[in-house]
Amino acid sequence: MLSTSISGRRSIGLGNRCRRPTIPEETSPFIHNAIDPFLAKEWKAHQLQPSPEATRSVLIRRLYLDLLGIPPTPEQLQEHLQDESPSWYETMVDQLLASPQFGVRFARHWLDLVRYAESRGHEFDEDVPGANHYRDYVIRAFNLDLPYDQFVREQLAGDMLEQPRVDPIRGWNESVIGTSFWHLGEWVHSPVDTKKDETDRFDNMIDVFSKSMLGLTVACSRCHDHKFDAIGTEDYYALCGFLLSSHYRMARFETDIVHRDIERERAQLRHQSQTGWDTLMVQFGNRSKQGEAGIARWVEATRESIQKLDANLQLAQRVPPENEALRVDYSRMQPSDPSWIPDGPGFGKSPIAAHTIDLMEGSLRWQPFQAAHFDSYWGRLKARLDSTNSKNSYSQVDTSGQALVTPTFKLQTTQLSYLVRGDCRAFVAVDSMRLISGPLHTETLKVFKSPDGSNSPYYRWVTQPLGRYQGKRLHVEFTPIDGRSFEIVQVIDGPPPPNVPVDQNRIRSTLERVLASEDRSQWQDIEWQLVAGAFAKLDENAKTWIADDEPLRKAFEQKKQTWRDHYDQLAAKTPWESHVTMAMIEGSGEDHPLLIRGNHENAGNLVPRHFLRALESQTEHAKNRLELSNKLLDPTNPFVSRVYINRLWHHLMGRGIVPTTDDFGVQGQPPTHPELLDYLAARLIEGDWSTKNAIRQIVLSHGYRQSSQDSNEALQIDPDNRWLSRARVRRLEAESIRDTLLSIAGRLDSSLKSGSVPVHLTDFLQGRGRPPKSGPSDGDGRRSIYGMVRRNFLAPMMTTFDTPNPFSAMGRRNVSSVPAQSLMLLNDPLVHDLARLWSERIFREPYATDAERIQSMYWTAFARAASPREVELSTQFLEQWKRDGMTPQQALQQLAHVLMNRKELLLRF
Amino acid sequence: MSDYLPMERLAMPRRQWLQRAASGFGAVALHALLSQQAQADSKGQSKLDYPQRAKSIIFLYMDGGPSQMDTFDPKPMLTKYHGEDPAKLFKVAPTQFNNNGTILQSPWSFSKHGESGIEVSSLFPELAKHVDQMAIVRSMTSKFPEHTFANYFLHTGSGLQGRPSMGAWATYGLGSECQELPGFIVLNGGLIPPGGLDCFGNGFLPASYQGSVLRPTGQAIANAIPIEPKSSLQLQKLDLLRQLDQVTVEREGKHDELESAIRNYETAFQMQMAIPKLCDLSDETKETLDLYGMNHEHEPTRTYGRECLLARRLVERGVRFIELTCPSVGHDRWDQHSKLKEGHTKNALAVDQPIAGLLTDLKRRGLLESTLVVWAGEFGRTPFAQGSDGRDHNPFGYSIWLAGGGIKGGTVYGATDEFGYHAVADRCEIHDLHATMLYLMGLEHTRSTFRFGGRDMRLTDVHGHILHDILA
Repeated sequence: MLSTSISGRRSIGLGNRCRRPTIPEETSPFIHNAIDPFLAKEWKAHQLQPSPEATRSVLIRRLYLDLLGIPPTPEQLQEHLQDESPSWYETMVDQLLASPQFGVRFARHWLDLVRYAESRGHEFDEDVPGANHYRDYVIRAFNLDLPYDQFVREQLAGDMLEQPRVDPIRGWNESVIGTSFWHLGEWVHSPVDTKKDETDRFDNMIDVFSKSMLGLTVACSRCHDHKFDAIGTEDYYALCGFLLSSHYRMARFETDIVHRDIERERAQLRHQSQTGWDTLMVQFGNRSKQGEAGIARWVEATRESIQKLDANLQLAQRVPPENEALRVDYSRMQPSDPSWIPDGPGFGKSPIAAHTIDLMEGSLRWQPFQAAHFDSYWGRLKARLDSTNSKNSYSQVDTSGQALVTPTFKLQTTQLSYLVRGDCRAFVAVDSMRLISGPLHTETLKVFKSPDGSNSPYYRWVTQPLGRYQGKRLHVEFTPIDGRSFEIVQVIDGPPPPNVPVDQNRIRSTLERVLASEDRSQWQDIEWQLVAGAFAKLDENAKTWIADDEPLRKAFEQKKQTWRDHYDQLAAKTPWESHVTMAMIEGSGEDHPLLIRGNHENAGNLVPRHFLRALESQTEHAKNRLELSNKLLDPTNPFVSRVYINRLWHHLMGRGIVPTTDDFGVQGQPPTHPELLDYLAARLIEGDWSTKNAIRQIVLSHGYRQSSQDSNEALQIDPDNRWLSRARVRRLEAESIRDTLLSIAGRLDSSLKSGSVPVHLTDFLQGRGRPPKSGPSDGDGRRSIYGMVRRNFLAPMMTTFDTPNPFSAMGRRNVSSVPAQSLMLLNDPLVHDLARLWSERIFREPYATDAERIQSMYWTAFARAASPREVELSTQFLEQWKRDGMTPQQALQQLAHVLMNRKELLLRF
Repeated sequence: MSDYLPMERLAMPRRQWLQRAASGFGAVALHALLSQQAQADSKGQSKLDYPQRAKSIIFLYMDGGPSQMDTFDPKPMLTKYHGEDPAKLFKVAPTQFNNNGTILQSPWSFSKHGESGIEVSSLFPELAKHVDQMAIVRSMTSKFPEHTFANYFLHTGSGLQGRPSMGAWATYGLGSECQELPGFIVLNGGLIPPGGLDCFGNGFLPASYQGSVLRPTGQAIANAIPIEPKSSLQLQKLDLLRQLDQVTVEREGKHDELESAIRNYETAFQMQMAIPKLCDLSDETKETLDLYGMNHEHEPTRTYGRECLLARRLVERGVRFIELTCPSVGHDRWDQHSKLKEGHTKNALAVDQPIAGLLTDLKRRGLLESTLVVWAGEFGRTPFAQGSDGRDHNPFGYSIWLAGGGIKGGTVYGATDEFGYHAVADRCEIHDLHATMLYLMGLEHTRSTFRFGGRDMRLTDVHGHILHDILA
């Protein structure tokens, strides 16, 4: 229900459904495709003459810079210049769209929207682990021309897709990487108020989500109903519910798919092996009936070992299901219970059933009752991750794929108690805060080691004191220690129940019943555990117990060996090591309370999860992120396609049809060509959301291909060029400037290798969290997108030329003009080094004269020949400095440096 | 392009222009515009919202959070209850370290100074002589008990990273009167505050308004020194560059982008010339150097003295906003979680004489009346100990002071409770400080806005009241 102050005002700016308009009937020699008539209509209306097509070399350079972010090499330029086919331009467009550098260029545009960074900022600039895999994923997605709707769905809910998108060659789960999108924001260590910290994080996540995909500023509604758009605080907190229901995790995207297959095989193998063991156990049983001596020996051996453990053995018991403190009970959880939330293969598909016999770490284990069971088979997993600053004691990197997540609940008492077997680690995510590096919150992470050794067969209650967090919303994540097996049975909110002393005399009688087929239904946890304890010694004891029964002993050994062999075969084909990246995992469904005036200490009623009311067409609300993505992409929502096509238009034409690319609300600017916007949006959807087709269509239009030369008339009538009667001259983005300099110096490494190049640290880059090592000044020659983005140590060349600070969605960069830019190009040692490389390169070529060298440099740098005046001025300069004692190469280096400072290099005409 | 702006902006063509330039679409040569604007301002200032009381601001950032009850806010009750359990006296809020001890009396004594008789602790013997020029706000508060949040909040009015710093807002609103130097300069004494360089960032404002870090020693500003083997070579190259760029202008026609980039080089060149002159102190007398503590035996005092002296020289050159960060004193910043006495003594020693010298020097040169000096940390400290001999962070009430342009000297404004824990009278927020700073520069904070992400963003967000009671 919309809150009353905005009911009746359903329109959100351009919020009517997108219909494909008819193409205006305009005749003009400047109509190349369906875009141009829409432009021509306005040309006519404003008495403007469109500019003629730009010259071929200008067009070539423009298209390279717009689509690839780097200028053409002289060879590429010549190829296009010499193509005499009438479709030379179309050929070039297709070539560039097929270039891997296209993905590099357009991925960077996307990264601006998702506040991409590889560190968290704040005080110590902690790593954002594996963020660069998200960057690489975006590059691949653009190169693949992944349909934009699928791309969006993967950002929101790539972890939840029934059929994740699998890289056909490498077998990676691509879809799950998309959900890193949510986690690229700032993080804070040691917040005094964890709920406030969470509301700030959610605010950023919703802000980025709504601006990047919807072009709407939903985050304003954190405190009040949106002043101008039909978005209310209820909408905001409804969206917060989706975040409350989802958790951060580290995903093994490379091996995720194959691990699922292997775990399925393992489960089958275990299942099959149960029958085999059953048979063998019957034989054991038979034997015990035959000879009292046999079982007596076993019992004796077992009792001895138990007595060795502790003369006053006390054992833990489960609390009954009706216990009010019980928060999670894995021992009674039904199959497909939504509270079963394993992260990765380590805990299998469900809790392990009671009485299961399993082969673990070479020994047989017997399961006394159902429990969540981490299998040490998966303890061999290893994570690969580059790290710069990692102080987070729960970075989850090493335990990725090995975690079990509880549902979310509110802590009523001051502690949690867990019934466990073996060693384990419990992390309590309080208000989803998980950057733990003191001084506060270290108690949220606790390691529990079994006093009887990690393979003790007995269960015990352990406690995690959490006094600070009473009344807070939290969930627990259990992970293994060094990959060893462990179990978790119950979680209770409060102190543990007392252990039950074990009567030594009861041991013998209990154990004597072990293999007898009497009714066991009355057995308590204690009895089951003693059986398990006895069973833990089975391997050892069986040797003596059945030593005189050669066939049975052999059958036993062989059975075990076969099982072990099967596991070994599986293990041999299991990829243990993989890269990890951040992803989402779906937790229990939680609704967020409405916070009155955005104050987290003033919580109102819970708001059921839903998409924005004004845009949600069906009455059925979205309940999870996957359903949210379906609502978002519903054809009745016009925003996603319009916002996206407008972004492409902005990047290619220099200004969006809606100039405020991230604000399509009432507060944004209206579109200059509303029908064109709808036409392109409709075509985008009809064309299966293909980015490359949409771009092709735009760059083939005359509107794009026009010259940038202003006519006086056009300047008078339309100084801002709203009606696009000429192309816009634009300064290149920071990345393109640097990549262009590298390219013309012959230093560009345009490979798409993963990993990031550390920031080159100057004396001016100081502060806490400074990376321990400086990167190379030329960034290894890699394209700028591969430079590591550390929030507190942003590369000066990037920030000076307006690469946005990664804190919110930024679809439209600033374009400033400041002296620091000139100083950088004039005096930065990198630019001088590149000038040297360039001059050396020229001297390796067989040019005879300076004039030839100068011409070659102009083709490389400006995609054109040098004019006679330019040759003359440049030659004079060279002559003068050679007379002054410079070598020809040294003089040319200085000229190269001058050319690198030419304004023409910074501009795209 | 008027539809790009809210209606109220139409009444303010100056900032509208700036905003348009910032958008990148109007393609106005921003820097030239700033220079023009600066000239217009220095002539008439008719477009300011208020009379300009301060042309420049020197912001003395006291990194780490100096303790109010050990500096400018005497609390005899601490002595009376020294060693007692604070929980028996008042409600103790959660703290950053949660290692709270007993009530801790100040190790320093307070005495009255000047005609106003304002009490200052013995930590600041030199500064105390200037109380008659200061307005001490004893009721400042922050919203955050953690450094980084509080630093961003103090600098940008938001606890989150990536918002424009107050220096960026000031230069955005007013431009710079100095063509040779950036309008917002951070003199880095050695300690970059937690939160990093983003404390001085331009956020969503154009890069032109970013704080430029200037180091008091060595190479002052990044890339400001030519590295050509001969100085005549760079001149020749610039000359050639100018001629070659003219070829582009002739061929491509006049484009704002092109022309502004060309002009930019001229400014850059001037800057290159200006910085060595700025940093060359040979034209200062020994008396002046001594005044700033530049011959002090304590090395951090010399460093901070140089910063203060450079700050004055920057004011003389018309730089709009100058921030000084603290030198490292071989102890922690003002963040004494333990060893309060040792740490505060060293930190105070580093800044006491230099700041006193700065105030004296500004005054005798007639610059103090047009320069606002602000002394502030990101929060204060607890009246009870952390451990046995430290104090934890306290955002609920602490002291800052202002002096110079437009400030009513000898003023005490606001008060904390009897323990110095919470502001209880005339409670102030950082937003109020920001609103007052902009006001003194002639800008109304509610109208100094920049459209970002669908909102007209402000340094003061939706808050801020001008502190008229401390104004002359």
